[in-house]
Amino acid sequence: MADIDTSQGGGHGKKGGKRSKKLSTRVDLTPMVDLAFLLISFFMLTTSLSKPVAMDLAMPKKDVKEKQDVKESKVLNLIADKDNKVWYYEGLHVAGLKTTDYSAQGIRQIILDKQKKVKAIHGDDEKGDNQIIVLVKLSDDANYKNMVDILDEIDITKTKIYAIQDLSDIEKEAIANGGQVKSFATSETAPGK
Amino acid sequence: MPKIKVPRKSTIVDMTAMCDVAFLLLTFFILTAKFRPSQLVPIDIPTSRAEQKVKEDIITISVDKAGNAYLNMSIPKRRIEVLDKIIAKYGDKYPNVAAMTQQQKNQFGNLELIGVPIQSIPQMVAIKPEQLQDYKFPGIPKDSTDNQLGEWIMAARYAYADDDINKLKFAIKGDKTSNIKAVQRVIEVMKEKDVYSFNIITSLEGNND
Repeated sequence: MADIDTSQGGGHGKKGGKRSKKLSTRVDLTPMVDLAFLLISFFMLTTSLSKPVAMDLAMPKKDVKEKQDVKESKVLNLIADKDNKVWYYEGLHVAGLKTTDYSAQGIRQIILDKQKKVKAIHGDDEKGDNQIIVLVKLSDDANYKNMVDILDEIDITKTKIYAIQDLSDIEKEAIANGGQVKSFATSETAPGK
Repeated sequence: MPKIKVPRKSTIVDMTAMCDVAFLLLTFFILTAKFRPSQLVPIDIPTSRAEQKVKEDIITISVDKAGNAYLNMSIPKRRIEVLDKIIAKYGDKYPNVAAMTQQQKNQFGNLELIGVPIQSIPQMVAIKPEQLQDYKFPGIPKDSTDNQLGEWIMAARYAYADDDINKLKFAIKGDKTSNIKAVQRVIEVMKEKDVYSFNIITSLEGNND
């Protein structure tokens, strides 16, 4: 198949004194097979990895009359901003915003730290889940990936109570000022609220 | 002197056949990998560590880089059902859609995604599939002045209610870089139409980061 017959015919050898060397043209196909199987495994793996998966997201009903009071010490606010930056602060009063990123050492660690604090104060609820409340806010410059990243971290840290909210004016101001709130008004007493 | 001849046997195995098989398999996998549904509107979905599988019968609302919304039902039959409901509910607003023949509706059912305003559907059905690749989809209007996305969601609810409302499931599929405002607007429209629970479609993330 792959090799060509290089042997000279039967009668040639006796006439001439010289004998030409027989060179085999057989090619070793082993590396080629190796390569082929390597490519096969590569394509098989990449195709199975690109399958889409789903994440659940539930939004609160629009016209909910009853509002629950939340303990301030349970609340962690995350604000997604442009350039993959996340602002965060604890409690309900906007003060001293700090930034972090979407890496495992960044936002996830912050949620986990807050969970530890919440557990120390309030303990776990009856189901054994942490009682942390994460409020996710998305600034207008954030992109969709940021939202999914935050929701993913919430899922990874097994946070049960979270909500996506709109940015308040005071938070917008704080972000524009690099995390500092200049006016003394807190989120509750902010004008227009 | 007589020589004792020991027959020498070659230990080389012919790799040709194996090579053939390997490349045959390789060709097969490359072809099947490439032939997944081609995206008319390119959307680069974000990654997450969620492991839930996407339901077979799902209505996907896609949001592309520019913030345009598109609609897609995974089952072609559903598309026709939902279109019938659009005609039944909002037929007066769109007389040209109401006048569509059954053949046109079937063609509509074969379309991969709905990316045009409702009044342009008859024109879109008329476009040949090979020309569709270069077609610029304007997206479904979703502002409050002309909230056609809401009409689609409503129609979908009616269509599924005839069968089993529990089968109705919405999913949002957004591009990584699309602005959050467009996605939030889609969520808002869904909330207006009493859809509070939905899926977010992502691709599986590796453990490397």
